[in-house]
Amino acid sequence: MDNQQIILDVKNLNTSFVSDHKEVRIIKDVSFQVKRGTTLAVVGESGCGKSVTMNSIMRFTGSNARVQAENIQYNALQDEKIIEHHLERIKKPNGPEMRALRGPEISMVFQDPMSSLNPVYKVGDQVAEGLIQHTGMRKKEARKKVLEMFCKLGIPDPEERIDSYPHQFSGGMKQRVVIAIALICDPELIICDEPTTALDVTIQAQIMELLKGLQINEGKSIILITHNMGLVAEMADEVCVMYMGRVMEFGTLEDIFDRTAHPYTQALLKSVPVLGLADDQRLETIPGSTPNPADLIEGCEFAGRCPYTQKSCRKGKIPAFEVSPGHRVRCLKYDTFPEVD
Amino acid sequence: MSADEKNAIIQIQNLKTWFLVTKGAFKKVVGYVKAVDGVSLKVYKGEALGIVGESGCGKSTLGKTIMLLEKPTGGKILYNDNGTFKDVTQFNKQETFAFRKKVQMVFQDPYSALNPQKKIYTSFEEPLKVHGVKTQEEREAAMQKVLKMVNIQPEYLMRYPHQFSGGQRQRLCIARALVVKPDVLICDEPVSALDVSIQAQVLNLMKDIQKELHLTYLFIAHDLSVVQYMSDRIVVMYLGKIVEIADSKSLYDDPLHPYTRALLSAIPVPDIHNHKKRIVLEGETPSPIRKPSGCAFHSRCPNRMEICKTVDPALLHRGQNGHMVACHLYDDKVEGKSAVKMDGKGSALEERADSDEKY
Repeated sequence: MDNQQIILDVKNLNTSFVSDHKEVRIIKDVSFQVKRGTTLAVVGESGCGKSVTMNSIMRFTGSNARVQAENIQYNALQDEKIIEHHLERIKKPNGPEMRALRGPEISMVFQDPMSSLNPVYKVGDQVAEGLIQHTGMRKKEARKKVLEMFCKLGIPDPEERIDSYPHQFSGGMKQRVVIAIALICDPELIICDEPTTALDVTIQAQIMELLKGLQINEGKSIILITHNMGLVAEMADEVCVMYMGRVMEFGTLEDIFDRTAHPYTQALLKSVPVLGLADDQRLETIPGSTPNPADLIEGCEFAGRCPYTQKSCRKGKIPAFEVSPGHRVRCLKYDTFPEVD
Repeated sequence: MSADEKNAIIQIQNLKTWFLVTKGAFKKVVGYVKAVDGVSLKVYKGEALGIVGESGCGKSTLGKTIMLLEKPTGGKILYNDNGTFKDVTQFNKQETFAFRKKVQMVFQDPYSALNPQKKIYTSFEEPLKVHGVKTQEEREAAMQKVLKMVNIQPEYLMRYPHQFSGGQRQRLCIARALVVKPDVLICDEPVSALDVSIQAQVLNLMKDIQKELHLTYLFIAHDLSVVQYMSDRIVVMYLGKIVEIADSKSLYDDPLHPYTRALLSAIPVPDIHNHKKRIVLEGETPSPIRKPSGCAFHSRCPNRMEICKTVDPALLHRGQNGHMVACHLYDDKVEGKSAVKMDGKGSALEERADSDEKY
């Protein structure tokens, strides 16, 4: 596949944090690609490194983090031409190169709308800030753009609401404002980090509808980080399942749901209560709990909780196997298939 | 006393819990947050009653009021004490004390529900001490028994809470509630702070314990799929009022209230082949301080009629097996609802759902 089709290509991303003079590897050899105009869902339980992966790409990690990667390539499409940005080569995490990308090219929607807005500024000014920074637009013009954006995102009475403060908004409306901030500079790739976890289900449905609409009608590419398999089924084109900082399985929506390969993905799908379960039907459980990332584990990270563990699972490096084109699984059960790096 | 009443362990009659909204230095009362506003329901012995609703609907306040952790503004909570119903709201200090031994609570966040400075042993011993288990041997025997039930090794009693994972901590919280041998367990969002893989462990465990001890559960949660998995009957709340009560199967197969239908359809299902039609509600839940007149749901309801703006519908029996719903759509006297079929799937709803089916 060429750069035209792929918007973000991450290869062997490693992130470690230094704490107490110890270096703890949090993200281990993560590779994935995002196709232009599609949604990639990154799923996993808390602590699996899904947010850290995205923060590493955007360079939002703190000063105690070490980010290394073979390749983090963002392909910008400008006037039918591809401009390659190699994010791993950018030295300063908050330097001009990185800042030029954040907003007009890649933007982010965070989990908690209550804490991602500044409580002492009017929401309109917060949305306009990016526009003024990146395009040098006049305040008056920017305000007009913000109003347009508010209308598009379904914020009622935009003329009035633009001068409100965050505390005057409800949770769902605040999240719309955060999405407005992310969209105002017209980025190609939107990274949504658990955008609806803090919201009610009926509001979640509204926000998801909005995001799906952006992808379908405007051809935006979306990375959706979530732990909700239901949302994945509704939103994603491709799915990346993470556990303990590794990509366990990567494939299309059909690969993951119909031809589930990795034991962890299988367990994850079966352990969620689904509406309409029969009375005597029990949920399947995954024994044990997630190990501490500071403990070094040889072999497969899931081996301690996996029903298929063999001796070979507990030593060496577990490679990923390609069970069908594009469907990669990091599990020795599939060692008859070709290895991919 | 009728058979129906005999089987009831808690009867709630027109319960109201209002919070004052005050303003200024003199705390002038400018309004009320009607968190629980006229709730009546019966909890039967040995059943698991689920209470579901979105944030701010009053489900947690209802649970806390039953435990007398919040003072009710009005109404009665009748507790069946060996055949006689006593009004819990009129209890004096001693009676409240005895009542709390019978009714225990499990809270949402297992990280803050256990005292970090005390060993698990101390946390477990305290309820036993205050409820009059005199000798240490008896207390230890009781502790061992409940720990076995939640699959935690008795040696762990000497550990501190931070040495346990989230799932273990929630199991400890459940064990601590069970240690005084209660009849009723009120669980306020017991799994929402846990990861999915841990959630299943705790839910299965709670189900087993209920069977073993013949407990009555009040299971409060926002996640309808979790509630449906756990409960025999489900109460759906919206802005402090009950909008629908049904056994969990009929609620899933044949939801009557437009809010329940929207709630059911809004839950994402991990199934890529059966995409259901989604009903997307307009707007957000109104503030409980400024509740809409009439039916509180009318501002977002896709089936609203003229009458909904002025008259608050009563919770009445519709359909079989005690299926109750508070909605004018099912009132035979109301006119102008001809567009809605009574087979449980409103045609007006379906039309809307069709237009939403963009993806």
